[in-house]
Amino acid sequence: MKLSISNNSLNDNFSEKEIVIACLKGDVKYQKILFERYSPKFMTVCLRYATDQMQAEDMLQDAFIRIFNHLDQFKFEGSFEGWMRRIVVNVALKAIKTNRLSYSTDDDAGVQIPDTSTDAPSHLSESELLRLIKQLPTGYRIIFNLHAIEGFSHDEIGDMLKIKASTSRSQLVKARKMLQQQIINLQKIAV
Amino acid sequence: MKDKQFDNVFKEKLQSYSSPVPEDMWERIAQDKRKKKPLVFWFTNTSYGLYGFLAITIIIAGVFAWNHNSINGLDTISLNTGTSINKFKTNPLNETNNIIHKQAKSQPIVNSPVYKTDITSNSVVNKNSINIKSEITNVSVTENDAPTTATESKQVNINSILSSTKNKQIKSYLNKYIGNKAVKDNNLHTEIQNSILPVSINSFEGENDNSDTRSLGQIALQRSDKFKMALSKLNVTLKKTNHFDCPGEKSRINKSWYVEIYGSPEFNFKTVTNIGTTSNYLKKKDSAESMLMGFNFGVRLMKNIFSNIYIKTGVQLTQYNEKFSVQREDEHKTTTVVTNKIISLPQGDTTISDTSVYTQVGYKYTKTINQYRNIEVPIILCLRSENVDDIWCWSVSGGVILNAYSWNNGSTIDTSLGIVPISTKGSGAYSSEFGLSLMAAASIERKLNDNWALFTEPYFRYGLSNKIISKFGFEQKFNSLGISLGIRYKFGNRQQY
Repeated sequence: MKLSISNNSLNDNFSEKEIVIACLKGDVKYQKILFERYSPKFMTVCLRYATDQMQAEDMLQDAFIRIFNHLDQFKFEGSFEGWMRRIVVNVALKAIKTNRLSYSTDDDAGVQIPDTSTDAPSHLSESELLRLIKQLPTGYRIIFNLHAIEGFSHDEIGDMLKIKASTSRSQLVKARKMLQQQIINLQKIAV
Repeated sequence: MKDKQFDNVFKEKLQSYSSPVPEDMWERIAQDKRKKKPLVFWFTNTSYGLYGFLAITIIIAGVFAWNHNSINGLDTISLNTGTSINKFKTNPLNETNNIIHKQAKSQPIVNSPVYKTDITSNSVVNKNSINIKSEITNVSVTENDAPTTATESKQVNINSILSSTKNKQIKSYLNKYIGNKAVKDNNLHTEIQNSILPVSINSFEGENDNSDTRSLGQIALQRSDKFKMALSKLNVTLKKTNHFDCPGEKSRINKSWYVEIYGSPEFNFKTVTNIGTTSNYLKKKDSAESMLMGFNFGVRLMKNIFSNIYIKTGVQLTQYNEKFSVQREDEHKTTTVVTNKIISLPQGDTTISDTSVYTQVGYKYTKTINQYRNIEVPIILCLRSENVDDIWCWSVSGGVILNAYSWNNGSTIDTSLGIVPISTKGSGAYSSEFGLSLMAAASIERKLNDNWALFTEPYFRYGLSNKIISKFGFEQKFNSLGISLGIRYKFGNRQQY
């Protein structure tokens, strides 16, 4: 039996550029530092898109392999983390697309959308918000993630997912409504 | 609350939120990074594999077609039979040995305009014919006493004959079917006697006094219409007893049997098809398994069935090796630490308890070498550049390999990520196994003596059907690249017309 205890210390001693250059030279030590520095954040990204923990792990694994393979394409223009995050999102979308995800502009009969409003869910913890997002149907979840958190416009989302911008908008509205309903339900349970 | 505000709460809280990453994630990434790119691009894609096999098959067919029509395109052959026969008749040795004769019923053929050549001098060809016959006679006289000297002597003479032939294709023909044999074979006398002496020229009318003879015209029919037209009218015949080494002849069959013993290291490539499981499971399985070098060895019989075409069949053992390694959470150990601190104050002591809990996760690392063993029956057709006098010989071959029996040792994961054996029995992962593969190869062989030869044979093997059907909703098959080294033994040395 092997006991593994994570150790993320000392990673902050290296600058981002230093790490990238060393990784480009194939230095495994720096690649591991890069992984340890960013993998927790990107794991959250993957968890937001994936349906379960296992799929999120696979996404993260594929994303880092792709990052290392395409690191030479990073031109040190703009944020390195943003560049990597875009790769992670693309990998996540690709993994989801393989499950033949389809989007519909029609109202989903199985989804009840309440006409309610709620206070800001700021009192909820990060893990609770994450769980709420994961409970969304896949189509809603993707578009809510892409628009609300990643900051893509509906036109950009339309290009990425090969759907109309109007479809993206309608899915986002439904996603918000469903999240609000879930928050209300949580509040009722708490009371 | 506005939508934007609602979205921002999620964005602010989740954009930089960190989630725990599995401990073995870096190992998995490092392992994936170490995977080398395939040696040949089409092994990663089954359709490309099929294209490769088709290309090799086309090459084999092309080589065969080329070999079969090697004399096609021959222009009008220069043969003035009348002159030739007259000259032979003037040679008493030829008559004594009954090498060449003109049948009584033959029609007048001397200076017949039908046989006039438009590319080669008549006299050259006729001269060649005479010289060949003369040399044969000489060899038959001297061979017993000094075979080596005779061989050298004949080599020079035959070469001079060949060099005097201007037409390249005639030269090629003579060189292939007469020159090489006479020059290189140790038993020159026997070979020449068998191959050249019985050549007789029968009647112009095509009448044969021996029903067992086969005309050169008939042979030429397979090669060139023009050649056939010229020679069939001449109707030069070979007697049945001839050992005229002509690899391209359809009716010539080598009666010898060959036994090959061979072995090869193999690079194996696995293709997995999802037939009803989750992609996550297949990804987990794929990340836990990686192919290692395998091997095969076997014994097979080889038999000439048609022209230069041989059939090979036998039995072989193939083993695919695969590394299986998986790291799983095996034990969670929770430790609670309670620290009591006593603070002494004027109004009395105060006890503060500080309780902390930490969890250690124990991982169990399982590593095995999976072995997929197969007893197989190859059925292979082989096109050989057969020339008994050549030390080096090449061949191309293709065929099918049937999987007769299989058994496996090792482990894999099931859909709940538990470890299960890869057998077909009991709780094993696989429900059935059957494999059919296509195989293409090219080989080079070197003769050691009349019976033994060494050969090396690079080959590609494409899994046509799925070899393994899993209980967990996937199928997998294997493609292979290898290079066999082997030895071949020839039984007997007979040929049949």
